[in-house]
Amino acid sequence: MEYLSIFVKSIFVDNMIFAFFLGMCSYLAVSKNVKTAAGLGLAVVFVILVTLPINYLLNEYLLKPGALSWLGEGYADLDLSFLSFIIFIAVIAAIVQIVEMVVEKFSPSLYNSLGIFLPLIAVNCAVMGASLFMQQRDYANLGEATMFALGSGIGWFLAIVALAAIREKLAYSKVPAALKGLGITFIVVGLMGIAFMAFSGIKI
Amino acid sequence: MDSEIWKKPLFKGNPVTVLVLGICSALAVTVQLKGACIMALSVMVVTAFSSLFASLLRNTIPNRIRIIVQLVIVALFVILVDQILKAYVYSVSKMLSVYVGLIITNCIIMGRIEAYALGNKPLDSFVDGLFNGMGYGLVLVTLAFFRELLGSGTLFGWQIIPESWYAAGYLNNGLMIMPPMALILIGCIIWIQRSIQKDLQDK
Amino acid sequence: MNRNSNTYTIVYSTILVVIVAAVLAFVSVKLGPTQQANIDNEKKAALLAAVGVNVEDSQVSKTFDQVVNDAFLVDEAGNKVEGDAFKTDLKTQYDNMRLGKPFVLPVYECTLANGTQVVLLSAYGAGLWGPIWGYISLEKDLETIHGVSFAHQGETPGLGAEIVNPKFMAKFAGKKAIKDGACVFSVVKGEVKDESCQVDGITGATLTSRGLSDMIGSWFEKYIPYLNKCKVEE
Repeated sequence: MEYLSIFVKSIFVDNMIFAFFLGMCSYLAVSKNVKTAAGLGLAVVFVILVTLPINYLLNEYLLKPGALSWLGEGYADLDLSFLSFIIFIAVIAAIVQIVEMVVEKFSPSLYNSLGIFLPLIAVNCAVMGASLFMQQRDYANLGEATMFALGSGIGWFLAIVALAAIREKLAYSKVPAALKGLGITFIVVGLMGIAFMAFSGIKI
Repeated sequence: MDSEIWKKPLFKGNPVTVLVLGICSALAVTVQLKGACIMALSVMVVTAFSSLFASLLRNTIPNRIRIIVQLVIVALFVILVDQILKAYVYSVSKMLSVYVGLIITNCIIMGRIEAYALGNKPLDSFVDGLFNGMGYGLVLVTLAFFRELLGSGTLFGWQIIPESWYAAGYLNNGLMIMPPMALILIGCIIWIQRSIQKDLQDK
Repeated sequence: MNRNSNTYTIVYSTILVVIVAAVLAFVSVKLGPTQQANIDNEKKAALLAAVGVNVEDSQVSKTFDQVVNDAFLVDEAGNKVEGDAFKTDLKTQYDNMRLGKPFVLPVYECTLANGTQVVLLSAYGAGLWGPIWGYISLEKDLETIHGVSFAHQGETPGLGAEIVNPKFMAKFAGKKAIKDGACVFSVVKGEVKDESCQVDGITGATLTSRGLSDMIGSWFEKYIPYLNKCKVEE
């Protein structure tokens, strides 16, 4: 039950885009058509799903206060949490690099559709943000953290596909010249966010 | 020094409203002016110094691990800022929560290092970073000004809307505090900017 | 120097990592005590707010030492046990309670500037989105609430987050929390049936209000053995 609640909550209520604005840069840049948007979305789901559990374990056994106690009594007081930003971002950058190489080697077709997005993802705030939220919310075990990763990723995926679909239609509407492109996109995302607010208040 | 270095990022080439960079980490911190100001300052410090250092090191960085080295430099300054905030303005650092850490992935910083600092002299890079951070801060503070004034009736926590207005039936706009309003306001800022600078409009 | 050779890359990254780690470790050690002092200060301010004392940030530590006469831990049977009440992590105790493991409860005995004596208890529970916690002080009769202060991690602004609104917290003062050795206090939604021991919840934040009510109820229940003992001693 706990898992389901974390999963649903991170997709709808704590949506990375609509509630926290994470990953906005690539969200706005790559949402002009549904196909590429879906590609980027999938890549984000994938990278969050791989990096977050790794960062969870690092946080649990290396970074948080008292995390090093498995090394012996003398290490129980150490608090390395000041290193967490740098470790998280290093893990993310490294994983993205490795994933890129692996995908390129073993599945050139997937690489062609996903590959161009991978370098973008290293600095996608949604990925880093997910790790930081994981640390702040202090999930009880690896399962919960993974559920959160999956939910956040899917939430991001849904958000970008939905926006891309709207923007495709938007091309046919009459928008004031100065508002065209970026301006109206921001407002659309804002309105979508208000719609998503309807989900807050749900408890599972 | 070319005056374009500092003029451009503030208006014509504003990182947020024109280049659409660095929106991610910061919209959520614009509910209150105080948080927005601290965030703007933090980003300025980080962009300026990481540009400076990246530029100093630009001839030594091994090409293959370029991105990681940049990330490490940025992360170093972000952690420093985070530690200092925690020590000296604890209440604000609590309010900013994870968004301080997210400065690392703020595309403005990486973007300026890649596009400018790696090919220019340290001092120019420092100024470029500083003013790009400032251009970003400008948008942040404008947003926060409207959101706090209309959403809570205060500025920097001081009551601005007089009690008599409330007595006469004025209500704070609760929607302003909600995250989506920040996006809609940015949309409006872009609208205004592009109405003035017609050359930025999409064809 | 070949910037693309493996040796250069490895040596370069090693040096970089060592320098960065050294700088960060130095800063963290230097600023650590100030940061901890801030965290302690915040907790002390929250504790003081629960007994109705609000002072400037710089005065918190001093006032806290003046107001709090004694701080100790009690176990589930109501006996005092060894330990530092202030450093006890409420979340750990809350987890232990839920898992049925032994737990301890912090108690602070306070004397206010006007001579009033109050007992300050803690509570921790789940709101809608994340943990909520707070401190509740009881009058000398050990039944009536003197004051409260709550905090939360991520409740909805304007709705659940209103539990920290001073106007809301002021409603708690004077309510009967405990009667005949049982917790009678509750936060209710809609109609307040018994003014003496109920507080009206927050409109639009049913689940946070319920969480708050459950939190207070369950922690008071745990404190009752200790409170009963105190009464007998008198």
